Amino acid sequence: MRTLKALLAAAVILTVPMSQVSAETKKIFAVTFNLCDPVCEGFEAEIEESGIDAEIVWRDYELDKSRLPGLVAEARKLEADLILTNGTNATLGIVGTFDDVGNDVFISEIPVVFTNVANPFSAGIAEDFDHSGRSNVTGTFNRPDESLNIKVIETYDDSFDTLGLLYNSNEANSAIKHDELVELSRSMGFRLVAVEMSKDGARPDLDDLPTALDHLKEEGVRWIYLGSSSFLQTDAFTRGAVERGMAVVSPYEHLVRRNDALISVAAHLEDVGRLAAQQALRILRDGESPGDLPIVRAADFAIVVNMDVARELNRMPPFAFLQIADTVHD
Amino acid sequence: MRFRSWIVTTLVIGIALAVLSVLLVLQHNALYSALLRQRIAVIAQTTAETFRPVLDLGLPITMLRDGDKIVARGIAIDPEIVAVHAINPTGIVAYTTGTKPLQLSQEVLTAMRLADRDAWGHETADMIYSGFSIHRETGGPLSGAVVVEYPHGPLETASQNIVRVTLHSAILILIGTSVLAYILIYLVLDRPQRRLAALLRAYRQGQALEATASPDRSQKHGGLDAELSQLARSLHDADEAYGKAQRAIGAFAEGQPVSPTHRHGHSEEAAPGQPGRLKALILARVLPITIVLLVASALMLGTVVMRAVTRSIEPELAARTDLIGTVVSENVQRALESGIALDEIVGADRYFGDMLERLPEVAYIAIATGRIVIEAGERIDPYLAPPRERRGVRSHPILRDEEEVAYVVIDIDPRLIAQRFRDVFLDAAVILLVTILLAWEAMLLLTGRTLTGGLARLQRLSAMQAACDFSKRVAGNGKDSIQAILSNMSERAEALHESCARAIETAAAPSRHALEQIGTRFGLSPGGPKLLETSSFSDIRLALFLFAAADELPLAFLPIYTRSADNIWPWLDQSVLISLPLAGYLLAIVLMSPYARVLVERFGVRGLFFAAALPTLAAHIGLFAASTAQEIILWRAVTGFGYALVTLAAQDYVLSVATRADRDRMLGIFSLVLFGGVFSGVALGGVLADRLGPSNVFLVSATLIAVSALLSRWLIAPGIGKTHSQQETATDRTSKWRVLADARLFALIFCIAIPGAVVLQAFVSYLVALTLNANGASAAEIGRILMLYFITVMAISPLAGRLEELLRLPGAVLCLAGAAFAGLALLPVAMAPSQLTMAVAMIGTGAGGALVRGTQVSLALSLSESNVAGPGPTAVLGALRTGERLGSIVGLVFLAWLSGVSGYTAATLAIAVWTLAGGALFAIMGGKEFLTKRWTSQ
Repeated sequence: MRTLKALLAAAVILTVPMSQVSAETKKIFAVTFNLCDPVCEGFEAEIEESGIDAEIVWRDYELDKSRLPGLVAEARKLEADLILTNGTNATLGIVGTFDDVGNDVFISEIPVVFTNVANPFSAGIAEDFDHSGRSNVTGTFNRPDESLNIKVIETYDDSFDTLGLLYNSNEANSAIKHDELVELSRSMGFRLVAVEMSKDGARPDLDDLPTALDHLKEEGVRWIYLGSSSFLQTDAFTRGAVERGMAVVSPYEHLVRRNDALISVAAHLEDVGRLAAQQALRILRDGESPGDLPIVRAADFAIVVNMDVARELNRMPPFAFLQIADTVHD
Repeated sequence: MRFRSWIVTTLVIGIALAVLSVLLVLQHNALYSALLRQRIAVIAQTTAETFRPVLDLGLPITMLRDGDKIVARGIAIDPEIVAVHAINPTGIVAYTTGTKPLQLSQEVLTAMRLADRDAWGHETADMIYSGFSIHRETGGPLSGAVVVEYPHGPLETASQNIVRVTLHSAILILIGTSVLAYILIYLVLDRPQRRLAALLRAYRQGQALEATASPDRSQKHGGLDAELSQLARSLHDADEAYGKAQRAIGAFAEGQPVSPTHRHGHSEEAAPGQPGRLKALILARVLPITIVLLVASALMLGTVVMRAVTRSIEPELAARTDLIGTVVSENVQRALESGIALDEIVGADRYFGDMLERLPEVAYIAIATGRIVIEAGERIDPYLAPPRERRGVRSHPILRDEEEVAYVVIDIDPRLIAQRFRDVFLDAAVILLVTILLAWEAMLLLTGRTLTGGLARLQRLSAMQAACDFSKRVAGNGKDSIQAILSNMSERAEALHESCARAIETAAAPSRHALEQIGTRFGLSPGGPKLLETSSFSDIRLALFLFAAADELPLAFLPIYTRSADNIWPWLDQSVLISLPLAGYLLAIVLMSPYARVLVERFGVRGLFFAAALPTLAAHIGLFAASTAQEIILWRAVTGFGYALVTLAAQDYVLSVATRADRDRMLGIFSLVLFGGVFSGVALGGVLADRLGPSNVFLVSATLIAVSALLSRWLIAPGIGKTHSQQETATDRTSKWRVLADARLFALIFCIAIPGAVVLQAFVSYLVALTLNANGASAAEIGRILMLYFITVMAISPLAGRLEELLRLPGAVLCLAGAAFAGLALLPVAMAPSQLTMAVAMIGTGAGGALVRGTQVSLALSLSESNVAGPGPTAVLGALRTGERLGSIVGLVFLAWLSGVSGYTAATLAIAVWTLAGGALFAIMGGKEFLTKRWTSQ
């Protein structure tokens, strides 16, 4: 698997001769962040395998929303044929919400395919699964209903009654997930201990993580849900939780495979990237209009359990789980 | 006679063995197929259990990564499996081991949709399907299913083995019993044969028959000799009468008149020996041999085939247990492969506990390492469990790094295995019983027509001619000595008719009158002798038996068949819809019954039987081809018309051929034959449906009806019934409703007769099949349980009439007892539906129904005689029958609706309450008068 750095280096090389590309070559402008690996790999592989003559310009906004307007301008300047946005913030920064349609700050003239967005409907990006409701926007959906994660915890642990959550109200997807979990805690009957990590609208400081985790432990939390917070997708968070006897449930598989999250129910991000590429191909190759395309859903979900973490936490997966789960070891 | 008897006996046994062989092979195939499906169901179920946690979480089955790997595990366990598919609720294949079809075939999906349980199956000519549906919660919507495809080959191989064993055994048994039959028949008929041969030889040679007819000899050797002597006398007297007639006619021709008033011998009616007794006496010697050999050969074949069936299914039962062991071992191994230690496994007891709930014959599953590590269920002394070690190797070891770390323990519940074998034998017993009933009917027909038919005609014709009655002749077919004599006698009659007619023609007017008188005296007419009709009930009973059997073949599966058909009236409640074929059938009977008598008078029994059988035949073909519930309703109603006409025509036939003294007995036998057919149809319909598929059973019905129609055409004399009791048909239609003004008759109809009919139509014919199907019973099992009702009715009905005298109880009390019996018998099944409680209900309602039916008619007739002025018994019986049929239609539709709204048990409970409340109301209205006979005599 290629690393992100190599990918970005390639992107830079690709960007330079953009003016020399022939008129038939399709220009794809991809706005992503530093954890893009599997999605980007899937997207790139699918485009390559399709045989279409396309160039991909990769741009990492480094989870800094202030850089997104500049990327909008760059895409226009490059006369990109299609923009790929990875993640809720990137998508909102490029196309805005429904309220922003017609606003020049956002793209409304270039086709946009969003992917890896936690909830494009509540974020105001798309209308429903049938179509986005916007002529230039379509995308993919790769998250199961949040209640599924709670059910996974309940199935795994009979004594589950409290869920911990660290969230960032400054991050749209993180805030949306927080609201959803508040609602779910009422309907599914568990206690939610949620800790806001953003101070005065600033990006959360990772140095605050130990304190937040200690707080959760003091509140009797044994299970933490990662939600959709990009700032938590670090080893510091998952390891810190395990060291405090708390299991992390993640919607991202790589946090189980590469970090110390215990369990994930997730679509394979590479598959999600391929799905986004298929949407792009329908626009670039088949000439379909983005507004007419449905929001396609990822179909292959897997339960992945980190057995070393399970042993460390002394919480072995139930027998039934072992019949279907992918089990991984550090 | 001996040769014919032997041929008939061999033929009857041959028919019985052929039918029995076919049915036993079908039964084996049904059983083997079910076992095969159940074995494959282990794969379907365990694969489905693997998907269950995912579906329980709320993920669609299509959204599981590596689902293809999960379905592939099934093939790894049993390489004979063709494919394993995991499908979503609409039937779209999400994962498969085969080439991915977009959707499974519609018939497989229909089987899944109609299944009331999680495990279900389907079979086509090439493939056996075993499916397991996954519901997130009990009674909840379908989340997905796993379907396993298995080749038909193993079933065909097993079937061919059974066919070979059955065929060889049947041929050997037939040869053996045939040889034995020859010897026995030779012995028992030796003397009658010699006596008859001597008699016939003497007759042919014109020797003095007086010597043959010596009374001394006849008394020494019992009734048969006496009858032969009587026949000899008749033949002798017939000779004399012929001579006398010749002389009388000749004398006139020559002008020497003989007194026309002199009459010799006895008339047919006054003959001392009843014509036909000879037939009965010979049958009395032959039939016991035939019956004993028939039953013995059927039992022998049954025993041999059942042994082969047991040998055939035992490995299949063991294979299922073995497969369960393999699956358990694979599951544990998979857990260990994830890096977990055996004693770190959590939740396995619950997992295997859930598995046990769906594998009833497995009582206990454990994982042992020397001590038990994981266990689920209750231990049973596993004398039927498969061996855990084979040649020193554990049968289900659990390996880690190629070393055994544990092994699987599986205990089989021996009671369930024993029950399985008991069921097999019960099925075989039913088949045996049905075969013997069918063979009995065939035997009576064959013996009546071929063995003793000629002798009976000879006895009758000679008695007539002995009494100077030459009005009849017989049709000439056959070349034996009896037929030669019959032909000779017929020719003599024809010659007399001719010469008399010629003499009358040529005679002068004064002589002509005298000649006509002579003609009258000897039964001579210008038209020639008429054909002698020797009709008896045995001529029609096989046709009636087959018709009734054909009519009832679908009873065990009709509601389920209707439910699976398309419905073009989506607005109609499905429960009501599936009751409509039965309601239409009953309505057709109600509508047609009043016209049956008129039609018999117009077309005769033969004409009507045949004419009614044709649309019924077409209706069964229509039912076979029907794809919508509405077509089924239409065609089933047509069969109702046919059933009403045929049974009433047959009843008229009985009334026509039976003597007045014999009428009640013959009507009793008529009912027994009818119920025998119904019983056989119900019992066989299920077995056939299991094997041939429900729709093909209608083709079997159609074939039986075609045979029945042809038999009626060949065997029923054309004129019978045409002029029967015209005065009785002119009934006042409205008078039968006027009788309802009588409170006691009203109570009898509404409180006893209608609830009784509702029990039969709404419970026996409708709810039983649906309830048992919902509990997982096969069509054969449903048929076997339903048959208990009819067998109880057959056993109790003859007693019901006598109980009144024996127990000295008024009929009203017996009616009440019948209603109470039926109502109470329904309560256990309403509380806890199972095959056992249903069997109790069948026996109870059968006994109750028989008591009610046996006494309600005489009770109604008593009322008509003592209480109801005016309309008379015909109107009273008409009101009773029409009332109970209409009531049962209304009750059926109402209860079908109720079952749709509140479930089958609620509908059963409603029938029980209705029956008991009706009985109670009847008792209240009768009051103290029940204890006396005053209820009907005041």
